Amino acid sequence: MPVAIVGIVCLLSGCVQHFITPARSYEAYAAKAAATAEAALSSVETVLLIAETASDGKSFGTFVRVSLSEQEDALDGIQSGFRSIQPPDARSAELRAELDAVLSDALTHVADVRIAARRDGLDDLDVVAAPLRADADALSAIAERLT
Amino acid sequence: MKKVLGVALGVLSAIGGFVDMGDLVANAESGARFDMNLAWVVVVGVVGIVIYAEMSGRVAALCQRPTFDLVRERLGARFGAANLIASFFINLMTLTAEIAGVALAISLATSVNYLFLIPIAAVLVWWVCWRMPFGMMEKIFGLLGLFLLVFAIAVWKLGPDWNELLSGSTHPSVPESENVFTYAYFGIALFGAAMTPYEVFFFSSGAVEDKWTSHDLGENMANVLIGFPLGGLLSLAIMASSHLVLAPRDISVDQLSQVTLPVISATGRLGLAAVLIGIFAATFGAALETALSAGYVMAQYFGWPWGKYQAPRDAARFHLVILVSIVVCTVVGLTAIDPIKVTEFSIVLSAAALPLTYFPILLIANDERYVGPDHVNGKLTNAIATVYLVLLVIVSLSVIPLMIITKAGA
Repeated sequence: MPVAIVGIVCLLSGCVQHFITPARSYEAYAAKAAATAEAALSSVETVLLIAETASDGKSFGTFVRVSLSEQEDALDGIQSGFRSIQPPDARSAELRAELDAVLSDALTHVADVRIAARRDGLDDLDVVAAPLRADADALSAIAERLT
Repeated sequence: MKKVLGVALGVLSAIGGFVDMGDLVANAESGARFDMNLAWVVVVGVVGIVIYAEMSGRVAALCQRPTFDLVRERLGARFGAANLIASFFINLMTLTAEIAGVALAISLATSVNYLFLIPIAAVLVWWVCWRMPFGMMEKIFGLLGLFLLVFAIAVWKLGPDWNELLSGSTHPSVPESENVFTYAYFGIALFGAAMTPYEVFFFSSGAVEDKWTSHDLGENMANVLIGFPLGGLLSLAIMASSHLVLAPRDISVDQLSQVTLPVISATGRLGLAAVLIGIFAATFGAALETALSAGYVMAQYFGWPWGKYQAPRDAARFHLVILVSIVVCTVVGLTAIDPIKVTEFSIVLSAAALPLTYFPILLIANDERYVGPDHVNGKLTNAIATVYLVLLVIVSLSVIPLMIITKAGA
């Protein structure tokens, strides 16, 4: 019974978002940074796709607003999780600064898209989302470099 | 004519009812990360569920008793208890995911936060379990689930290179961005999604609810031989749509809304409306099935009266188990636990418990005392089922190590 309880707790803890373990070397930190960049890239590309389909008149407002909020929350969680990892050395601290800057930019741009969707409608959402293309490219470059 | 219509309705309901939250998430995620390299697993899973669901339905029709009821009698109370504990726990996880799926589908259409909608979804599920006749419930949500055919329409409208799709499906490999362990882990997830235990418990109990007899064996065959494979094609359509739209953009599936994006890209607002109706119906139908399965397994193990065909006052403990299960899962859902992660864990753990579910079915389907000498398994069925049993044991033993190695597929 105690083993089963421990097992259940471990499994449930895996369902908690942004479960991050510490990194004790640059290699381990870089691996986590790469995973962070890939997860963030997924969110950013999702927002770009949502904006594109919305501007093409393929989606409706309620869906766009909910899904944009989901991605903004997800990206915020990804950044929070990454920030919570202690960089083990100076090189890791540099990597942290680089990736965190890209994540912050991406989060700002996603928030802009979310605000525009609620305030201005869907027609020009792809224009508002355009800066996210550079964020996506930056995240992709970081992920490729680290893997 | 009435019989033909009945069979047709049953087949259509089987197609529409095949896909649940686990299939949606697993197939979409696999298509996004592995392209079509795991399509073969869906085919393997569908063949498995066809074989075992047919046995399960046959046993229920001939004995007028469902599988779980017979497991304890045939294999003893201890084995039955192990089966009950494993099945019930996995059922609860699945029910949590399905209720959350219903809430998420409504949220995407209304922009109301899904956490506010979880209790409403739970009350609706309970009310339908309580009040709606069994046959009506099966047919309505099974037929509404056919809206998910929009995934197949989306694939067609995306105009893929069909040779490339077929080649990717028939010549599987591990993509460069992944490793063999994550490939195996997602393969097991897909397999678990296709062969979830609650499906056979519900299928066999449903056969008793519908008062099947030996005259309904043909309908049983039609449902599983036509309905389930076509439902499997639907799963492949979800995977293909994800491969065509999400994979090129490096989008991995973490939210239910991402599953719908390929449909929106291809078909626009009409497709979005259809897919949301389909997801609502699929998850609601699956929530009903898992809630009822919770009641079925508990009541059948302890020998309590059970079934929607009985007046609630005559099957009070059965309905109480359903109610308590729904309440527990609602509370868990309200903790804001990630419904996608719960779904992933439920289908993977289902895979771990598969031998417990399917071994007894194979045993009973070969026992003349239950099905009669004319209806025991044929040699071909036994050969395939035995191969599957070995596969299930391998899968079951591999799940936990793979979960640890891959950090649950990260």
